Amino acid sequence: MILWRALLLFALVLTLAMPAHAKEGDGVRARLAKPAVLRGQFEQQKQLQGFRNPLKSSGDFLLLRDRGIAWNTRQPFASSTRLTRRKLLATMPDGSTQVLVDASASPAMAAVNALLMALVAGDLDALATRFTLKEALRADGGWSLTLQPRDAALKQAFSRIVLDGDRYVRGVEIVEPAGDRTRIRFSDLRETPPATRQEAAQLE
Amino acid sequence: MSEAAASSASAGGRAWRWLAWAWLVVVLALGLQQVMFWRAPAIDTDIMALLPGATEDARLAAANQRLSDAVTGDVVVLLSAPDWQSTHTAARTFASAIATGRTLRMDGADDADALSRAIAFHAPHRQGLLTPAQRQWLRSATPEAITDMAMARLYAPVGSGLGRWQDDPLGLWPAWWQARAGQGMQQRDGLVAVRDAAGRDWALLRFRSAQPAFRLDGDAPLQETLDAATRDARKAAGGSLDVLRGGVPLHAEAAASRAAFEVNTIGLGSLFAVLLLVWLAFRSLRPIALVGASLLVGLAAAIAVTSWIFGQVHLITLVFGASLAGVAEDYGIHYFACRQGHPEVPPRTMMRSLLPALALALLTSVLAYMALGIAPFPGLRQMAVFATTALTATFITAVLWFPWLDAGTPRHSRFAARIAVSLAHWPRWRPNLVGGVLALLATVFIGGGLQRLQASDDLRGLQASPPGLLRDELAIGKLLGLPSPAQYFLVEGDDAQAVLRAEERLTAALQRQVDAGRLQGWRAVSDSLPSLQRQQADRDLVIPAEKLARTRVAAMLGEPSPATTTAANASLQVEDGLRQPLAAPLRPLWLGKVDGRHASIVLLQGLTPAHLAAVATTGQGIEGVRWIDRTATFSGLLHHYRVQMGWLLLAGYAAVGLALLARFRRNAWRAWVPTVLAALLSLAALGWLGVPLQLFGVLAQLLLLGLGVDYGIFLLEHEGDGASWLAVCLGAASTLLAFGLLSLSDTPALHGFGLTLLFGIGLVWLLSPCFRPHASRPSAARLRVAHPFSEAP
Repeated sequence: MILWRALLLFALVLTLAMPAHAKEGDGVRARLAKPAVLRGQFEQQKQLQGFRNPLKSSGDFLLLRDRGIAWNTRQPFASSTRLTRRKLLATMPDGSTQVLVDASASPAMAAVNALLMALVAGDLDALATRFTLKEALRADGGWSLTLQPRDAALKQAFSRIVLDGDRYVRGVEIVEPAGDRTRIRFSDLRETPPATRQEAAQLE
Repeated sequence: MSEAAASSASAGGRAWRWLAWAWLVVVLALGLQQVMFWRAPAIDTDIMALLPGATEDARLAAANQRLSDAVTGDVVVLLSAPDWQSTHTAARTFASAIATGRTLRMDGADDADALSRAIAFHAPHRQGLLTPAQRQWLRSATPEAITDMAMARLYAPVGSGLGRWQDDPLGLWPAWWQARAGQGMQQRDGLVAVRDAAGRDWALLRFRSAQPAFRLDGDAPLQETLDAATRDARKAAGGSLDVLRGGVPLHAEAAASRAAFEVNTIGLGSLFAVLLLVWLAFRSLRPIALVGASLLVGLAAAIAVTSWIFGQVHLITLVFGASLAGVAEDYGIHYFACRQGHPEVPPRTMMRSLLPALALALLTSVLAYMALGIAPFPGLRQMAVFATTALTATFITAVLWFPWLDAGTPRHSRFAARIAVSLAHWPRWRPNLVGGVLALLATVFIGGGLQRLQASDDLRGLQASPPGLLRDELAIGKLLGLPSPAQYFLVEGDDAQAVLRAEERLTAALQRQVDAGRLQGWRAVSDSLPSLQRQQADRDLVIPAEKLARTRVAAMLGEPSPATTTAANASLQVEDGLRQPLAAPLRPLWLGKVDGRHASIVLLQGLTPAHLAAVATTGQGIEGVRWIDRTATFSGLLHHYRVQMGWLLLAGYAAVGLALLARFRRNAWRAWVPTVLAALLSLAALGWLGVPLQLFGVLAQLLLLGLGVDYGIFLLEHEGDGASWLAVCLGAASTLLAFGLLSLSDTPALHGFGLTLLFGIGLVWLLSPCFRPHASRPSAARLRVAHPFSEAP
């Protein structure tokens, strides 16, 4: 359950190719691609209060717009998180799998999962109602978008989130109320090859 | 007449006059009381108020009271348009439309700071607060799994969520809050949003009703305000908007406006019917004025006494009471009918000679109505008090005032004369071939009907909310995961901690029911505010695990072992926790100390009738836990009293039969049989119609006995007397009308009541003269009874 807020972020980051809707953020949406499949690498750097050194990790991800997302950390240890239409699952380094959210368990869980999936499927409406959006567009096609949470529960988790990119989202910075900062850079973003049968099955 | 008799008669006359004046004082006081009462009518509209409270113990009574208080006054509205943007606009429009009126006010929107304040309050106790899943994981997790979890959290793109990683390396704290939030409700654009199982978003608005529900004019201001706001909101949403509305005030208002309509139609209808009959029969204004006045005095006295005894008058009592005009008029009409038949007899002498018969009639009616109050149903007791008072006050008014105020000579009317004469032509039942065939037919009809007659003890006999409102309520309950207030567990203990420990054993057992798919969930205080024992046990799991995670992770990263904040001991007290603003939904569940012991309520969500029996046994073997099923309790009570009243009814027929035997000897059956036949025929009719017999049906039968026997008594008492027959006819006609109108009531119980009596009284009226003695053969009773007017000077 810890991870669902995090997942919400990935979904947001990777699927900003949304149908035009709200006023603020329209410019960003116009510049973003809207791929059915997106693969890529990520590098994450986290600066925590009370830690001398930043925590670095890296891995890869696969997004299938109509099925869900698989987020695989490779370094410094292997773990994986998968979001499907019905479930949110985490696979720990020891190979054990934990169901974090099961939509069939209760209406509340269904609501959490439905929100996550709506994001992956490109429904920005739900997100725009929970964050205020502020965009800055550059002449070269680049942009940045700042999100600030609207409601009390999300404010407990985030101070602000800043995204930047061009056709794709290239970087994310997350600032938390306690002062912790997380920076994620994406690289090697591509819309091919299509998902293998095994990859698709993982997100069933 | 001897001198002594004359002097005692004149002394009686003086006393009578004094009593008449004294009664005037009482009536004036009643008038004053009525003015005061109707200025702010203390009228109860809650259907549940008619049902017996839990009389067996104080904690159960407190629990039921708490559950009904928790919802009183709240109005809930849910709106959903095809998309959230339109839903949002519609909700805003709805709220501002409500704000312009004064009938409802917006319930304080959820405090944005409440969450952070609640988190700050619970933070020192954090390590003693685990969800069941966390507890299970910590019990079985290896040191490696714990370290992995801490590492994964550390490297997750978003950190601890609440506070620093070091304070909560395993992420137990945000997950605990996540479990608290539940219900799929969330703050969204300053509104509370709810997502249903189909993924549709609803905006939730809460209001509080600002005024009492009852208005005699039958207006429905809440309904109108909500309708207007719905129209505005639908327009704002672009035409397509689903709206669900629920809350006790809406039920109360619907009941009130319907009851106001029924009080008016039944009350005014039967009053006008009575006055019309009086006019047709007596062609004079005086009887109309006097009968009308006696009925008003009876009604005023009934309201005064009922509100004095019960604190307020229930709507259903008023609706029921409105039908009394058709019963209470009997005394006045009887008097005027006899005056008309024997104009030579002066008023006071007439009244004195009628007094025994009138008093006997009052006694049987009052006894029948009082029998309603035997069952401990507050509603029935109110009706009993109301009816008894109304009849008695009307009787006293007639007896004390009519002889003084009725100075004129009674006028004859063709209408009255024709009815009086009709008795002579009324068919008689004779033990010949035709009579035998009739008896056989009746036997077959009764036998077949009684065989088909079924009994029912369904509570819904009292409930009569509009179906649309019930449908909305059901949908809202499902959407918000609202627990049912009709079935719950009552948990008791010597102190607060004992209650919490018992709750924890119960919820562990309930979890197994949830796992088995018999239940969706529950609501218990101990989920958020566990016992100290549980807090300590959880701390014993959490503290070593967190220490291990911190030390190992620091070693792996080459960081110094992080300094930690030490939390206080297990010390979260339930009373302190309940004071938090976020604990508002839990407060109704905590009864605290009642009658020397502590108690709380555990509510159930998603309970279905199919699994009721299985879930009910969940608490077995856990000390201090009791399963409460209010629906079953009520049904049990209805059953118990239906059976008991059934025996009482049989005893009543036996007692009335004996009383008649003592008075009329060989002819007693002539007064008894018509009512018995009417009772059997009306019961058989229910059987043939497939209408189940309920407690209210049995009570109606009791009334039928009390009212129906009167007709036989009058006819035997004044045998062959046209004036008596006229009185019986007028009385029966107005009673029929009153109960006929009552049978139009939307309240199922009153409807059945009215229908049984309409049918029963009608039959008694038609049957009674069929069993009158032969005019040619003077009866023993007639010879025995002195001529009623022999005292005339």
